[in-house]
Amino acid sequence: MTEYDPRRSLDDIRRYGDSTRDAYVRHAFATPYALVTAVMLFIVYAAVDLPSPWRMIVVALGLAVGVGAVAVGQARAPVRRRPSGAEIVFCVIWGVALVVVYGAARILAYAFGLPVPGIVAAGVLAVASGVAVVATRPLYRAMLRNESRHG
Amino acid sequence: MDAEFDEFLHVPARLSVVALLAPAGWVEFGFVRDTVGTSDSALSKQISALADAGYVEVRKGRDGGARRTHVRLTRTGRGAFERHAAALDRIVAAARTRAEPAGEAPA
Repeated sequence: MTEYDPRRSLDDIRRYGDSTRDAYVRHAFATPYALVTAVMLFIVYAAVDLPSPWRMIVVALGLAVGVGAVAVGQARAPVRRRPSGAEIVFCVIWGVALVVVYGAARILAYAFGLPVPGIVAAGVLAVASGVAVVATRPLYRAMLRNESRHG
Repeated sequence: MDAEFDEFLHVPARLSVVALLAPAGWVEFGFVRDTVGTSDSALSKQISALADAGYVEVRKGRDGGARRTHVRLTRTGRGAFERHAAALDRIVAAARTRAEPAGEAPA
């Protein structure tokens, strides 16, 4: 075996590992799932202002959409992996940031006297989630690659 | 040669499959085939060899009407891969160390 051979093998190992991580991120952040997430968030948060029992019915419908999307996404994923601690923290921050956006949008909608502040805020939240998916995809991919280099 | 260098795993067709599986749990057969750039039959042969060695396990299922096969590293396979990658690292580092003094100018 030449000395070039192990070096090339190590390069191949890194390249193939990155292919797997990229496929995972590509699938998890794919546009159809981002759209379904936005629709689910809109349904669930727009239902907040509805009278009972419609609130519970619409929230259940939104959550059913979310659960269905997760099930289909998992079944069709080319790569399945258990999320690392850093990935869980990332998702928690992502979720908290969206709740903050929703809260701020709701306060502003009330302040401007809009007729249906809950629905307006839910719309802002849905758009923000779509933007967040596009904006954080490269960050998530970089985080996974970085984890593989350092741990 | 490093004691943990795995001749069986070092075959490029096997090493590429194992390197693809290493960062994941279950990986779809079609993704492995397309990324490695091989045929169904050639990949099946390598996966059978890896399974016989206890390095991977295979699961067949259905998604709607489509049959899907998934593969993942076993604990044994993951350990063997990590030891082999570490051995490669040591070989490359040793080669670099041997090459460096020759390039240095005398003080």
